[in-house]
Amino acid sequence: MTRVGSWLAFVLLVAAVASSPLGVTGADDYTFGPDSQRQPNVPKGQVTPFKWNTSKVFPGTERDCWLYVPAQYDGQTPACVMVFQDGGNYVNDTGPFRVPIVFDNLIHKKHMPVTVGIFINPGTFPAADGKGKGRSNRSFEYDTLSDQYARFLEQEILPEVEKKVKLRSDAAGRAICGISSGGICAFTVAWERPDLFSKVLSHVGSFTNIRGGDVYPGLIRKTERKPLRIFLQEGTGDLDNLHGNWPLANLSMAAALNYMQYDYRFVMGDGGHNGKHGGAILPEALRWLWRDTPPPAAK
Amino acid sequence: MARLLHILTFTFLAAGPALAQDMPLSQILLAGEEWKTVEAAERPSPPPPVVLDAVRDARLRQPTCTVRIGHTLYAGYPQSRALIAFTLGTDNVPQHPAPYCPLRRKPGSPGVDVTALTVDREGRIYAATSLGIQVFDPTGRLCGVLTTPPGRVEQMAFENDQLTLWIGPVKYSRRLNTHAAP
Repeated sequence: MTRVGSWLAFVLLVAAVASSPLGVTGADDYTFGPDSQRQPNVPKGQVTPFKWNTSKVFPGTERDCWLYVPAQYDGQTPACVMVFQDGGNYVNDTGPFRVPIVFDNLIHKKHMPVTVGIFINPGTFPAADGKGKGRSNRSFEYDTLSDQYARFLEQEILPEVEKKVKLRSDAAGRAICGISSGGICAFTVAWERPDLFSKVLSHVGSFTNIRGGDVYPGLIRKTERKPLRIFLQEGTGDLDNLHGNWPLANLSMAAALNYMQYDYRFVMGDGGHNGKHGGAILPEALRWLWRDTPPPAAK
Repeated sequence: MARLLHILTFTFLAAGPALAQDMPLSQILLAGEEWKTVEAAERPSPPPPVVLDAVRDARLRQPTCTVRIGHTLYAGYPQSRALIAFTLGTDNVPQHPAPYCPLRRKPGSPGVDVTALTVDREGRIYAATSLGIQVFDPTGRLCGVLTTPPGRVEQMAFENDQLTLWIGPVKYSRRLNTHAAP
């Protein structure tokens, strides 16, 4: 499509989104395909929970994590790695994403490389006396535009996982994914540290003014292009609230990535602020994200 | 109704803890309610100066104001970019400071003075600044900024459903759709 044609398509899509009544949800009737369901004769990976309660980057926080190791991991060859924010939702076999099932199927078919999944819940500050509600650190960790979450991964989580499995250390072998604030978090990590993660998967990402995330389209346009590959999933029924309009924000992100000729893909469905659409197209997104992944450079 | 359905749809279908409840200012603003001066009000003694070594910030400044809700102590500083949240450990010792609530500042300004803090029963944090009263939700996100009468807010507190301010010798109050924290 020519630049004029793609610009016209954007304008029409913006007009469609802007004219939608507030709060309307679309059909949002997405269903899982076969790659999101257990298939016979597909080796099953191992999911192991662990906790991270001793963070120095986010001191005082506690969180649940999970590690997925595919059956094809041979113990010697460093595996690709993919990090998921709000990990509990992504690792759930009966949730909207079912990542372990999808990974099992795609890795078995060689539609993506042998990849370890690291699923991390946001931190909370527990009440000191063990009673009462803890304080959520999710927005602070996920929505803040800084390198803090990237340092958390680099200095704490990845080394912890590497005690158990060998991971690729090159950005081409690393991806990061999240939904809502987890989506902008994924982008922030890659934006701040493209040497650590080069592949981003965002589901209904919160590129709005929760904590200043609406600046990204402008930053993208005026920054030398970074070696990133970005998949954005959004829905016309997504949020329009005090922080911003999610469909417009994601459109703005896509337009900026398009302008700067990033390797990106933008899929706009009709869903709302949930994982139904993203989950239904997860296999397709992962195939696109991990396509042509080069082997690790020889040391 | 459509917005309620949207919120409910998200609550039941969305990715687990994907989104804390949004708290737009419209939840607390009441049509027709404005700041009113309170006649014959006796100003309470100012709160004692906050001198707690544990809540000095990285530049070793003392906070100008603090407020506690649950197991969290929020501290406001002069010329700052955020309210700092401390977790209260055993013996109520503040620890693990973090810039939890990023403040709105004038463009180009390095920071804004926070002169008073209070909280409501839903856990919103109110920070009096020269730009107005900046209201944050319990997860530290800015809900919005309430405009105030001219002058520096020196004291602020909820009296039942009235948010009250002292600007110089004048007391103002405004009814909001919330209540003082228990």
